Amino acid sequence: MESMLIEKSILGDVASFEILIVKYNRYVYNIAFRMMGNEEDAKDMSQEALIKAFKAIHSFKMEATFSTWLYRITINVCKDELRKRREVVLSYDAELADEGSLKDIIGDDQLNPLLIYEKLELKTSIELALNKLSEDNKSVVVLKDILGYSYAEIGEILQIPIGTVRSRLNRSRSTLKNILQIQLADN
Amino acid sequence: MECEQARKLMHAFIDKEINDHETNKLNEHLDACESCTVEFEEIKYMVQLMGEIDLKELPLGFENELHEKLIIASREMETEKPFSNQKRWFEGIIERLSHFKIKRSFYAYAAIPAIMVVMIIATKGLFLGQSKGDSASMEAYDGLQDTTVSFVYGEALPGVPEESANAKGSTQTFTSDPVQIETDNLDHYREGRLIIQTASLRMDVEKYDDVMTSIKSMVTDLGGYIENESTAFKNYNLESEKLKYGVITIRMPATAYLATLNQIKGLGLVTMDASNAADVTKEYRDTAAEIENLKVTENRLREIMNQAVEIEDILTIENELTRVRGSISAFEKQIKNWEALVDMTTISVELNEVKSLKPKVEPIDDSLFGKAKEGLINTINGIRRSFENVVIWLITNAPILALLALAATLLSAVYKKFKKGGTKNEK
Repeated sequence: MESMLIEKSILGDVASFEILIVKYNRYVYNIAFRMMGNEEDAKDMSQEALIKAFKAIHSFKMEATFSTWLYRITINVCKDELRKRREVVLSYDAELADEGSLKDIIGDDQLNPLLIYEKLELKTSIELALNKLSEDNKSVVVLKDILGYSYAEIGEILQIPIGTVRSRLNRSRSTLKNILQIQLADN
Repeated sequence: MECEQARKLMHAFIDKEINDHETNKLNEHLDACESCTVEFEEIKYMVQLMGEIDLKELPLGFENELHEKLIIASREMETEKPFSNQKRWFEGIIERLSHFKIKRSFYAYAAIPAIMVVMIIATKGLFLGQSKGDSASMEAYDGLQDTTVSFVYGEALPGVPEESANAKGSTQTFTSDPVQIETDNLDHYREGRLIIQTASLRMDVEKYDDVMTSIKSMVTDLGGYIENESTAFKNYNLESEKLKYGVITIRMPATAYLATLNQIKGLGLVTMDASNAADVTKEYRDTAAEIENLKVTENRLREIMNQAVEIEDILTIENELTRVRGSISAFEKQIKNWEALVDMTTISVELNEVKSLKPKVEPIDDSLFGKAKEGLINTINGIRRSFENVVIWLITNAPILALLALAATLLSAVYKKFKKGGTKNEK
């Protein structure tokens, strides 16, 4: 079914493509939302990604699953946009997200453990903290912890080896936790 | 185990991407190291909370907006496609050529025969043009417009002697002056290829009338019309099984051609399917050119007409004008006819009604006795029929038979007498 729709989409059939992506629309939007950090950009970027996928569908090789391919495009579109924006205005948030520098400033032991905070407070804080991660770090965390993909699938989507997925995820989570703790301490 | 290593493993543990051996090692360390235990619990809790984050719903109007953008994208792609395809095709050839590792000098050598071929064709075409006379004027229309027109012009004026025109003091130089056909004139002719599509189908159908009605409604729905229709009963032995047979010819707009064909094919079992696409582009263009040529001639004739004084000349020109106008309208009719044929495709469908489209199955419940009875009846009927035939034959031929019988008795009587006489004489 899916391959038939893909073939029709290659011929430029919009209706088939829409049927094809209907299952994935929401995931594409959510990935874009986490990557961009706001709804406005998420809508623009997810639509841009879907249109890009439509235009490039003839280059889609059946060897990967369609969803994997689609999410890769989404993440790349978001990354490109963020890079473009960074070139125009230097964001302080992005600077803050640079891992390593954080650890140098504040040692782990100075902060309160996460477990003392309330669940709701933590949840909203996590969403804020996520936006402060760098794009590469953000993408693994979003794919793993929010969308629940396995290491192998993430490797497929981001086109990186599983070892890299593993190490990047470790680093990203630690950074996220640090950002979270700083945020909570500030409040 | 070091804390560094344990921190790497705890993520894998949370994600359940870890083996038993590593799990044991991690547990050992966590039992011993308090800071790592806190870290582990924190990370686990954070990951758990992230898992609880609900997916956002798509914003309102997301899909509609996307649909519009996709339509625009597909239009853009359509306009880009032919160009990029061509480019790709060209690149492909270059690539394939380079695979053969042909040196550059080869291209130069290869060019020589190619140029020669082109030259031969060109000179040949030229000779043909000279020998073929007026027919060449049409073929040369594309490239040599001016010569063409003057050629036709000269031919179209046999009735007007050049001397007389000159004698009237005409200063016109129409014979030598090449006349350009204005390309604007060609605007009302069709661009692109002109293809006349025709198809004919033969089909077996179960319900003749239903199929006929649905074809007719399809025709009216899609903007076509029925050109021809006929229906007749098939000659069938049994009164109860009267089946129909008919032909319907429909004319459909070119846009609905394929859709109609496919729909009709779905109505029954297609036993014959033929379609034909005749490309009349060349004929069409030639005829269009002919018309334009004649129009130029017509204009020239009118100009001459204005200057003519002598009645005789006027009549000659008048005749010529009539002839030219006649040809123009004949050609225009042909052009219009082609346009109509291109616009309205022709589909003719032969419908053959059958009792069932499924292969016939012998009734299996017929008992042996039934079959025997049928056979017996058949035999008796056969005997009866042949008896009847004999009787009929006898009655029909009775007069001849009577005559024959009479002749036979006479003959035998004579024979007997002769025989008797013979024996008597012998005695």
